[in-house]
Amino acid sequence: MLDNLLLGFSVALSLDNLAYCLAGALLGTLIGILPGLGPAATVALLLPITFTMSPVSCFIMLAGIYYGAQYGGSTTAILLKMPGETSSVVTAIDGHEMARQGMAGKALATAAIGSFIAGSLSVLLLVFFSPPLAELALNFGAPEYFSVMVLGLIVAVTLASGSVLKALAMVVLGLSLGLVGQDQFSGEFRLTFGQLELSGGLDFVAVTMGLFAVSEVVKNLSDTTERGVVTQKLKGLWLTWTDFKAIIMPVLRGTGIGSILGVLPGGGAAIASFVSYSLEKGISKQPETFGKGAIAGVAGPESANNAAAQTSFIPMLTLGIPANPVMALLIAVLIIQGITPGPRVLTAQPTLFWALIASMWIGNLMLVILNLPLIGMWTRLLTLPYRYLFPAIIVFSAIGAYNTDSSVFEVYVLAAFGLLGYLLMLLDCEPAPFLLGFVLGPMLEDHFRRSMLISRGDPMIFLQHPIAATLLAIAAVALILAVIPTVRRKRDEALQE
Amino acid sequence: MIRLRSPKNVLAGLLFILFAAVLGWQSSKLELGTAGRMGPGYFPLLLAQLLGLLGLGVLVGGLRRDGDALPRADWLGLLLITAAIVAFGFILPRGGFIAAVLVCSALCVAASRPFKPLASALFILGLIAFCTIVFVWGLKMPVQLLP
Repeated sequence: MLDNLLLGFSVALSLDNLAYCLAGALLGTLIGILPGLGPAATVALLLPITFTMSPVSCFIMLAGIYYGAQYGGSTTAILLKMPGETSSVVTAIDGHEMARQGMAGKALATAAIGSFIAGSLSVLLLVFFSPPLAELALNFGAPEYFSVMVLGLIVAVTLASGSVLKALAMVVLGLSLGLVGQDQFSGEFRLTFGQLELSGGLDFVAVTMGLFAVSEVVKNLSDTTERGVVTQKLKGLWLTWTDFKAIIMPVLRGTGIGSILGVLPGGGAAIASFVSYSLEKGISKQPETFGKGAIAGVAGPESANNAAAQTSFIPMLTLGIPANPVMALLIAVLIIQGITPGPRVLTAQPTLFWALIASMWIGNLMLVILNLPLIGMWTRLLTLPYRYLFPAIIVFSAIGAYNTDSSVFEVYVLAAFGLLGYLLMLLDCEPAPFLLGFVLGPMLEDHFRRSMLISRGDPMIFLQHPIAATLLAIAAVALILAVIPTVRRKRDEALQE
Repeated sequence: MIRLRSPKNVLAGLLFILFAAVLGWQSSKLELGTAGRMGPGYFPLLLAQLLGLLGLGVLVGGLRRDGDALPRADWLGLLLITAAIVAFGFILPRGGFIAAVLVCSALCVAASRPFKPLASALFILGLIAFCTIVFVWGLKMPVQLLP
C-alpha cells in the first residue's frame, strides 16, 4: 500500500498533473461561487476537452472541480447567505450570521480548515476501504451486479427530496432513455425513430448539460434579485487556539457523518451537512447560539460535505456505481477513455486510482493555501450580474454539445433536454435520479439479461444468490421505510430544515 | 368535473404515462424473445410497463391529495433560450462559427431583464472573441469561422 501511495504521489506531483489539479480546484471554486452553474454541468462542459488528455490527468482535473465547488459554495454561503451549492445551504445559517457580526474571516477560515481536515481524513478511508471492496466485487456475477445497481438506484430515490414515487418514475425514465441506440446483444436499433444519429445512443454530455445547465438558466431568468456583498474588509482570516479547540470535535464528527453518507447514492454531500448541523445543535451545551453565529454550526456541516464529496468516489471506483451526477459523469469519462468501470479499475489501472487519491490531498492543500488569500478576488466576482453570465453558459453548452462528436444533432439534443428539464423542474421532478438511471440503463439491462440467461428465465436466481438477495432485501426495506408516512415526515423535515 | 388537487402531480403523472406509451409502442415493434433468451424489446417493454404504473400512481395521488399550485413558468424565456440553442445548431454548418455564436448570444441577451443594448452588444463581441480564441484556435474545434 505504501508503494502504491508513493506511486500515486510521484504521478500526481508531476508538473502537468499539478497544473491540472490546480486548474480543476480553481475552476471548481469559481463555479461554486457563481450561481446557476454547478459541478455536474461544468464537468459535462469540459468532457469534450478531456478526450485528448490522459485518463489520470483528466480525472485529477475533474475531481478538483468537484471538491473545489464545495469550497466555493461555502464562501458565498458565508458572505452572502447565498449558497452556491445545495451542500452549503446550512453553512449559510450560522456562517452568514458570523459574517454579519464582523467575523467573516473567522467563519471562512473555519470552513476552509474544517474542509481540509475532513478531506484529508476521508481520503484515508478511500485508501483503506476501496481495495477490499473491489476485491469482494471481483467475485460478483451478473445477479450481484444487477442487485447492487438496483440498491444504488433505490437509495438514491429515497434520499432525494420530494415525492418518492416521482423520483422512482424519473429513475425508470432515465433507464429507458439510456437504452436508446444499438442493442448490445442483437445489434438492432432501439427507440431511435429511424434517426441514424441516435444509433450510438443519446449523448451523455448533451443530456446532462440540457438538464443541469440549460434548465437552470431558464429558471434563473425570472430571478432578478440583486446581490449585495458583505462589503466589510475581511480580516483575521485565521483561527486562534481557542477557536481551534472549539471546532475540532465538530469537524471530526462531521467527517464521520459525511464519510458514511457520501458512500450512499443520492445527494450525499447535501444530506451529510444537514445531519451534521442537527447533530451539533442537538449535543451542544448552548443550542440557543445556533442560528446566531455558532462556530460549530459552520465547522460540522462544512467538514461533513467535504468528507462526503470524497467518499462518494468509493462506489464509483470500486463498483462502477455512481453516487451522484458528477460521479456518473466520471464513469462516462472512464468509458470514453476505454476503461471498463467496475472493480477491475483498481487492479488494471493502479496509477489512475492512486494518483487520484494523492491529487485529492494535494488539491485540498492547494485550496486552503490559495483560497484564503484569494477570497477578496472571489467576492468581487460575485458582483458580476447574472445577465452577463447566462448567455456565456448557453453558448459554452452549445459548443460543448457540438464538440462531443462534431455534429449539430447533439446541439438539438441539448435544446430538447433543456426544454424537458425545465418542464420537469416545474413539476418538481428532480433531474439527479434521472441521470443516475440514464448512466446505469445499459449496464442494468446487460446484467439482467445475463442473469436470466443463466437461470433460463427464472427470476428466482436473484434470491438464490445470497449476496444478491441481501442487497435486494436492503433495497426493499429502504423503499418501504421511505413510503411509511412517519418516516417520510421525518425525512422531509430533515431535508427542509 | 374532477378537481385537480395537485396539478403538479397530475401533469407529471400524465407526462410519465405519455413517455411510457411511446416507449411501449416502440419496444413492442422489436423482437421480444423469452425471459430466458431476451430479445431487444423485452427489457424496454418491462420498463415501459413499470413507468406506466408509476405514472398512474403519481396521477392518482395528484387527484386524491392536495398539493402546491403550478409555479409561474417563464415561457418567453424558455422559448428564447431553446431558440438560441437550436439557432446555434442550425447556423453553424451554414453560416459559420461567428454567426452562430452571434445569433445564439443575441437571443439569450434578448431574454435577459433589464435589457441594456450597448452593454449587451459589447458583451456579445467579447464573447465571440473569447470563443474564437479558446475553442477554435486554442482547442482546434473543427468549424469554419465564416460561411
